[in-house]
Amino acid sequence: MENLNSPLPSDPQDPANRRRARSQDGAKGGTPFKFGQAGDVKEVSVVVPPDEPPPWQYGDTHAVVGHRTPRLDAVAKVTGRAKYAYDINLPGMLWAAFVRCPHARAVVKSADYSAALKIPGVVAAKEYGSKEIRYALQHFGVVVAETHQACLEGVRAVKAEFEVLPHSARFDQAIADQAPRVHSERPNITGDGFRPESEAVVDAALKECDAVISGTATTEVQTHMCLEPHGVTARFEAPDRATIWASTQATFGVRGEAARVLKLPEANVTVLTHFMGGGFGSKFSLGVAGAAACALSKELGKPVKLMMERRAEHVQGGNRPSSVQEMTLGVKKDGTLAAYRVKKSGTGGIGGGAGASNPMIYKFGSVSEANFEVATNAGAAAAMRAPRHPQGSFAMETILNLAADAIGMDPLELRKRNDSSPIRSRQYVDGAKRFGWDKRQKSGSGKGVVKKGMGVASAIWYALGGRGAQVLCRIRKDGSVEIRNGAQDIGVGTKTILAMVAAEELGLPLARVTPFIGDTNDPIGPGSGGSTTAPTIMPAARTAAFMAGRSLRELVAKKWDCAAADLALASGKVIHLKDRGKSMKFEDACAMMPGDEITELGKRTGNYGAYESQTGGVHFAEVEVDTEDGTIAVTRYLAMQDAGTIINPMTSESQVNGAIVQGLSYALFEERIIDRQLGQQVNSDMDNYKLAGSKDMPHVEVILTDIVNGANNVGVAGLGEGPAVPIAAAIAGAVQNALGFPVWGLPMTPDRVLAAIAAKEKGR
Amino acid sequence: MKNFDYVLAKDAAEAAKAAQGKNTLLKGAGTDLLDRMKEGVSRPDIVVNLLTCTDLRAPIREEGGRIIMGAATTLTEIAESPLLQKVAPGLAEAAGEAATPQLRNRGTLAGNICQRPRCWYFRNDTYACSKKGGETCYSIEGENKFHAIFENVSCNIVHPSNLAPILQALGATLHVVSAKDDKVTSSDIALKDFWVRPEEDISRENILGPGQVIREVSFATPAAGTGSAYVETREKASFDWALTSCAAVLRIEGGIIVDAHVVMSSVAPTPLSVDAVVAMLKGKAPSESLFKSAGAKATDGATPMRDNGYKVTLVAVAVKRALVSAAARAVGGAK
Amino acid sequence: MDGKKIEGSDALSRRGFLKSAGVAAAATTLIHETRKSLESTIPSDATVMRGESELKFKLNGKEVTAKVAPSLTLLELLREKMDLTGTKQVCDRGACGACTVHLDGRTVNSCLLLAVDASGRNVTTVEGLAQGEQLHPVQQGFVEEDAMQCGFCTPGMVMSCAALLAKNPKPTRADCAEGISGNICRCGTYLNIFRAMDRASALMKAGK
Ligand SMILES: Cc1cc2nc3c(=O)[nH]c(=O)nc-3n(C[C@@H](O)[C@@H](O)[C@H](O)COP(=O)(O)OP(=O)(O)OC[C@H]3O[C@@H](n4cnc5c(N)ncnc54)[C@H](O)[C@@H]3O)c2cc1C
Ligand code: FES
Ligand code: FES
Repeated sequence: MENLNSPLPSDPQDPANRRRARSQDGAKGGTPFKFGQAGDVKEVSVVVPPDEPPPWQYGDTHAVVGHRTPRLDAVAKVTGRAKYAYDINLPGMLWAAFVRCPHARAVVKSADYSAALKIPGVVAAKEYGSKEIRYALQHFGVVVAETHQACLEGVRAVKAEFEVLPHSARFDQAIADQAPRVHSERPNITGDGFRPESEAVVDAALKECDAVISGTATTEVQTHMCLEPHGVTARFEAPDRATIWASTQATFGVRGEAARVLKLPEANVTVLTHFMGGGFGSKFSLGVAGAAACALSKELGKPVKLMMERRAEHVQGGNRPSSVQEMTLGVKKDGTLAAYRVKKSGTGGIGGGAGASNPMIYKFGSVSEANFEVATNAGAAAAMRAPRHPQGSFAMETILNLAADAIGMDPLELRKRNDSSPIRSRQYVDGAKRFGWDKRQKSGSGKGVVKKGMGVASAIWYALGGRGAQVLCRIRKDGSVEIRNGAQDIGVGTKTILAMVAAEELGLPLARVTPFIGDTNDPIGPGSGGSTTAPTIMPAARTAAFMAGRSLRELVAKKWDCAAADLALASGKVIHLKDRGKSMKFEDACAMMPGDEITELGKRTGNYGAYESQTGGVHFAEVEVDTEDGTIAVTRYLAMQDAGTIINPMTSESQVNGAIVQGLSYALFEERIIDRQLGQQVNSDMDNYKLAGSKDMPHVEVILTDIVNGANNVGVAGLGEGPAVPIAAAIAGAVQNALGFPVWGLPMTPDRVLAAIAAKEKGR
Repeated sequence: MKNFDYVLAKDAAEAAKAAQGKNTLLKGAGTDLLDRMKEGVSRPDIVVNLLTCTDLRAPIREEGGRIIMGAATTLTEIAESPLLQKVAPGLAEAAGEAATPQLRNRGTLAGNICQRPRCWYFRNDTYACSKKGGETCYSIEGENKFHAIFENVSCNIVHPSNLAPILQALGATLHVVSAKDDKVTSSDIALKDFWVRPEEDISRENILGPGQVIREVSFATPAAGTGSAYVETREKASFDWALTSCAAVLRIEGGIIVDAHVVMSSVAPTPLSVDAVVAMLKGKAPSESLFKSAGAKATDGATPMRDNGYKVTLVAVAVKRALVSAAARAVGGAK
Repeated sequence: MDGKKIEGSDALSRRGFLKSAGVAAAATTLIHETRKSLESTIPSDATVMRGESELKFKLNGKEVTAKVAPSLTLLELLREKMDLTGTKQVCDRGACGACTVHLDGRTVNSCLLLAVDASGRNVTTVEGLAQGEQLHPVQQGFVEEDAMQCGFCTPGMVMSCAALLAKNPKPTRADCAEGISGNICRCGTYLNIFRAMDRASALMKAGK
């Protein structure tokens, strides 16, 4: 039996892990532990850290975990009772809004706020922020008023003069000769070209290939479009406290930032995020809106709400950078991907962070990469579900499909041959069967105006969570249980699985556990990013519940004069494992408490090893392409997706569904369009910025692959990113199969589809 | 939105009188007007509410060989009207595909015809575009993916109304109430003569002036053997603006097209009747190939801009599909 | 940029201040007044609302009154003056459906509805759908099928679905798709909403 605690293949970079592994070197044996997936179960031994329960393992059955469970805050959401930051109305509350510049590059020469101040209800109107404008709709002033309407009218009344400067708001403008510089200190295009050594190797490898394919893929900027905009309702409570209702995916990060703005110790600032209307990676910080609201609240001595208006939300709310990816791929007849060259560029606006990541899924022989970042006078990019990956996936999977066609190999077969993940290996086979991949026609062989096609693409993500969370579990004398973590539930069901894990560990029905989330007065939790929330918090939750339950078992053990280890918590009872039939109701055990409560703090320790340190997925799409009007309908979609232990299949499926809908929207519709003149986003609304709607939906099936990962005592992985990686690629693959050639640009709108068809016909 | 005085007009005559003044705008449901007011593109001091005008709410009915609809009839009422579904399915279809269920439940017939363009430069108060009295049409140099491919000379808006092209193809007439001081008169305007091209007056899209209110809209009940259809191409299947659209009304007798009306929209500042196509259809037997060449013919004279060449292809498809559908209805009698 | 003609206004400059803003504010009491205005052509016997006036309508089954200026939308009235924040503001332009309420049983965008236009009408918001703690079948269906993620679009979705079900007790998936085609969900819950509607339809049939 291999000992999983050392070495730690899952997270070798985490020094904490290595330390812990060493410190336990002396430990003998360990707990036997089975993990893996059906047909590939491995038995290993782990040294369970002190105070932690042994990991759930392959073959375990659970009473609560793994069962479809409606989210616990569902009723609040469907009745409108759920209060989001935007919904907080406080006595005396003021509304704030930014005054913004319509030009992409300018200097604010003067701004006259007097007319705004004359509007009834306006209490303040003044400069706020830099006078140097670097993207359109950047703010330079702020108006505060007693009502929302007065506030917006106040903004409109501000008269400003700008010295308008030449800009590079669009990618094509920024890369042009003599383009105005976005950052005075550096050129618009930065980055690293090809390394000559890699180039030589790739050149040589390409010569050995049976087919060499090249192509250039482009993707457009996608904005996050959270329905609840960025912003907060802030209440400074003189002399030295503050409460911030924030629409954020990082309550603790926001607390720190707010404390600095307010010049208060963090301990005096409470951040509340009980409900949050969408973040997708863009809501990690207090942001410009939040900082302004905090400062204004302190200054004016009243609560201030500043939520971004929709046009600004498009611009300041973050975005997924665009990409241009020029590729050459050499493939051998047997499917070997011998050489891959790719030059990538893209824009993340003034913030940077562009580029595309090739998901590290397939084996490429030799690779040569060049990466460039193009600065533009446009709103800054922000992380967005699987940053950089959907772009990379679209390009890479598209050229893989061409390679498959070139060597006459089924594209699924080509992928199988180049993918070593045991998880995906099974998903390829199972998925193909489920989806009816054998009915896929040869690319471009369809007749008629509407052509059908099928595509496949693969998912990966790299996170199994880590240190950084503590969870408090409290059992009260009356038998009630609370489980608390101060991080946020951004809509994925964190609150629900928190309670599920505790209920499982305490042997209680879910209804007996009350979860609390989204309040920084509770123990620390992570920002919800990189698919780490569940895997970071849940093991700590389980540990906390385990510790609290252990204290309870100890009480009963004392009474029954046995060892606590002989007792278990199940079915709402304390059960004697050795003396069958001997049991006590959970609440009766609680009544024996000497004090009022048992309170335990569970800490997230580092990961053990893992079956696979990455999660996997294989996605299948079917489309119908109307070759006359250039529209694409996605008709069916199948996601085979792994996320380790599935605590709540219901909310997990929802999250994968969500990734599919967003990915479809990205593939077919979404595009930020920037005007080359003033440099504004012209479609900064919700009708010309097009989001997939109900009638654009395919029939979707989500199959969560049953995998016991073993990274920690719960083994859950997140679903924020993994399933978001391959969707556009799978859909584009299906389009390529239907047409017989790819549409190289996302979104695949009618203009692009018709242009691709016309280009092909011309070439014929 | 800035505040305004709100006139609750009791009928079209009162509304027309009230609407003669400066800085006064008419409002149906307001789904278009409020949108513009929030953007700061329209800033009236006085708004005259037409929803309180009982005569604008007259039900959809057939009278004296004409189909008559009150100006404040909602798009939902049009889409769901059994009468219209029978005699002019193309109109019901155009209403049913417009906007969203919520907007159709409120948006009115006259408001739909008179709604202002959706050009993203026009709708953004920070662009002083020529339609708003500025000097530049920003779509000429700028982002014109959704702009006009015909008659795009000085201002490249496209007409956004779903109902206008099909009503024009049905030969609709607007019944207008006009006030001059205290005097009120009525007149009829053929919809095809209603439009104002940018070259005639860039600041407006139709001939209505201050003190004029549409009270009703009517068209002759289509004769037996008539089929009507409205087809639009768009990016999304869910709510989306049309990229191009076409309304067709065909009368087929003894297997021959005896009458035809074809109106393209979302391609020019006004709905465009295409006479050349009509000429090539009349006297011929309907066929897919005939309709395909009609679609191609309809694009004669298109002058696409940098980003909207694809609309030329698309409008040909819309024309063909509308004709195919209208012909099927003409022959089949039913939908 | 200046010199632009704004429709319905004398103001020529884009940030031009409007004389009328002051007027509106001065007249704080509400008038259903009959007058012959000098500067306008409003007939002397016409009903005109200027400044704030008292609005009466039925809200979630109860008669309510509120003081509103003509420019206030129903959405603003609900959220900002009545603290009924279940109805969400997202686009504020009729394009997302988050603000959907029922006006005499039909769905409307409350962001594009003047509050005064609700006068005498029957308005139902998401808060008024359940009977006490007994959820409406649509709400129950949403809960059981997890037809929500962040939940921000959910109230609007629920309202669209409830209206659809009242009209069509057994909607197909295509009917549902049409019924919620005016509602945008960024989290991507449409698929579960279709399931929720099946369930709601069954619950309705069972008389729950
Ligand atoms: C998000 C969104 C999507 C939309 N999608 C579509 C679409 O796909 N297709 C489509 O066709 N429309 C669409 N619309 C436009 C929609 O506003 C119209 O369809 C609606 O019918 C307008 O009616 P209304 O009563 O609300 O007009 P209002 O806003 O009340 O009025 C519009 C204009 O018409 C004038 N007017 C109104 N009634 C009269 C009258 N009786 N006499 C003279 N003038 C009058 C008003 O002065 C005003 O200028 C959309 C709107 C939005 C906000
Ligand atoms: S807020 Fe009303 S439709 Fe978007
Ligand atoms: S649930 Fe988040 S927007 Fe719909």
